[in-house]
Amino acid sequence: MAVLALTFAITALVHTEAGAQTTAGPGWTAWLGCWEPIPADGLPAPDGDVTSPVCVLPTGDPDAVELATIEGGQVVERDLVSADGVERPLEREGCTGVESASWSADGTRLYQRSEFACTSELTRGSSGIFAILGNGEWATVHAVSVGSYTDVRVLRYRPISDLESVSAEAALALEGRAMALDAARTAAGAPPEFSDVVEATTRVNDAAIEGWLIEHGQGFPLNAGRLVMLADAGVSDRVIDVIVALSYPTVFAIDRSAREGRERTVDRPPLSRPAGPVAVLDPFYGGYYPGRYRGGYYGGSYYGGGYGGGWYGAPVIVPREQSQDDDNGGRLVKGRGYSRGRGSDDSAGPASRPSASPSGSRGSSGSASGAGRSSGGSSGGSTGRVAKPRSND
Amino acid sequence: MKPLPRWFVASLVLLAVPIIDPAPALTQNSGDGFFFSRPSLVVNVHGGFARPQAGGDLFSFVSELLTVEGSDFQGFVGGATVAVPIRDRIDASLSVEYTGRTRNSEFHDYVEEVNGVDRPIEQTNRFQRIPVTVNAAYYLLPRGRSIGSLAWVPERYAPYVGLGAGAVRYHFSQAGDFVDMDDFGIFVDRLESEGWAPAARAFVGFEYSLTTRFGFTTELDYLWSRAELQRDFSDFENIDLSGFSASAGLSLRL
Repeated sequence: MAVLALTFAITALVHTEAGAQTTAGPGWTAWLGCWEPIPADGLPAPDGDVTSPVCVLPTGDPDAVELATIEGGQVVERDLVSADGVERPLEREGCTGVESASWSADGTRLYQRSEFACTSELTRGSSGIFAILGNGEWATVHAVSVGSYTDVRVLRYRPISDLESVSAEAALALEGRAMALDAARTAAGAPPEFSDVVEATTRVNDAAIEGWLIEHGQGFPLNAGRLVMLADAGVSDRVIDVIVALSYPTVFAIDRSAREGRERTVDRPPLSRPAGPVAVLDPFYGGYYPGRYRGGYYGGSYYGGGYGGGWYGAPVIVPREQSQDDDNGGRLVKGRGYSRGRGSDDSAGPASRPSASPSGSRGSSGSASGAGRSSGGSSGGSTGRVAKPRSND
Repeated sequence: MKPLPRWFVASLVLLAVPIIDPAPALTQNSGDGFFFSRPSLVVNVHGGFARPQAGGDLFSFVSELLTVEGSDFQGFVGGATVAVPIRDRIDASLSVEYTGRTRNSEFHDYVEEVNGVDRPIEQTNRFQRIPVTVNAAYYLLPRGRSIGSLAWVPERYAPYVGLGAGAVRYHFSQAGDFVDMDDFGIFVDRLESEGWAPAARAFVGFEYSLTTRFGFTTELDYLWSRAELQRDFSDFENIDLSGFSASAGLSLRL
């Protein structure tokens, strides 16, 4: 309760008449009732007495409620909390400053801000969010900054259904309103939307927003466009990281002590382990295995074929391997032209003709006397054939 | 062309591994339209048109004798690239391409008389190039936007320029009937020259994101390279392996 007293705005102590029915503003309806504190996961319990139930009671002011601390069935302390957004000066425990609280645009979250000067150099700032979670619990997230250091404190409360067992005054003040309170809490506990995050960015510290989103635990329907929208709207990188982590729980886990998303650690085969200081991704890889590459080589595709004396039909292409025998020593000499070199063969035999002719079959052609070897594409060197100048007819 | 050296085959394996075993990258590393971190690997396959420069005295001399020009060897080019982002706008990559063309020809000025009919004296000419280069590409616009530390959103358009260096495996051959200018005898032979030569390239391209993972690329390339000819081609300058190419392809971000 001491923590609550530090964070709530107190305008005056108001003692309501026992049994009087008063109406709270629509924003406070979700909070009306009695609550018992529960520890937040992974975080140490804050200092002070956190075991006493707290009852939120309506007042005559729609923007204000009364927080009553209950011990032994008796109200031991009352504080007025006003959500009118007015900045009120305060002096508290050696520090002076101002505090204010106001509702979100949709009336489902309360934003609180305060700033105190405790010495000439020491300033203590605080911003926080009161929110109803999806499970009906009440979460209070406060980011307290002193100098460059920011600490996040979270308080969670579970609603107490049997008000009579906690406080007869509370039971009387809220008699006959159970369904209305339940409906208000359900509405207030709806998952936050992108617009809520953008709004919160302008109202409270980023650390408080991170804590609120983590306590809510709900993911978002993220896509590239919405990410860009969040960034362009000024939402901080850390808050966006938390949103991404919450939206992909199979890939990221929230480190609640650090309040940031980290990739999940999983043991994986060395071949599929990505490099980097962050742990590997979640085990969602498919059944891929290293394949085998069968290197090929450039086999020679070659002309070939031959023809008998008198005529020949369509040339036969016979691919064959490259070999040094194909090289008969001929060469092309700059300024001179082609010249046959070593390996000339004047032995008789039909000459070979290149099968690369685009016309394919050529019809008949005379045999060349003294031609080289043929078939199989083997080049036979000298063929005994003789070229003549092309006529220009 | 002779069988490829083992180290070259190893390069192809290196390029193929991300495709054959994409397991590390195809685990859930992306959301709806974004990645959880900037992609660590981009694999691109592309194809298009290559026009070898075919300069130098070899091609010009051959075109004087035969009915084939250097420009006749223009044709299809295909290749693959594996790129690794090393800076926000800079990628380092390894690329392998293939372009080749086979062209038939005949002597301009000589024919063979067969049974009283003039027949052309024909050959087959083949020109192949396989550039293997290591490149650096600079993106003129950011390829994506990091949002927080757990999200990277690819941009729709990303133009880039780049330079590369490496080597070209080339093959130039002529096979068929040739006329010996000493006695005008027709001989059958195969003349070829092949080997490796250093190469440099410059390129400009454009990447368009089709989806989170896939992008469409277009690229214009210029390759510079010259290689020493082998003994079948005497007294010529180095063969010109340079040329332009234009290609389009598909990129996969992993």
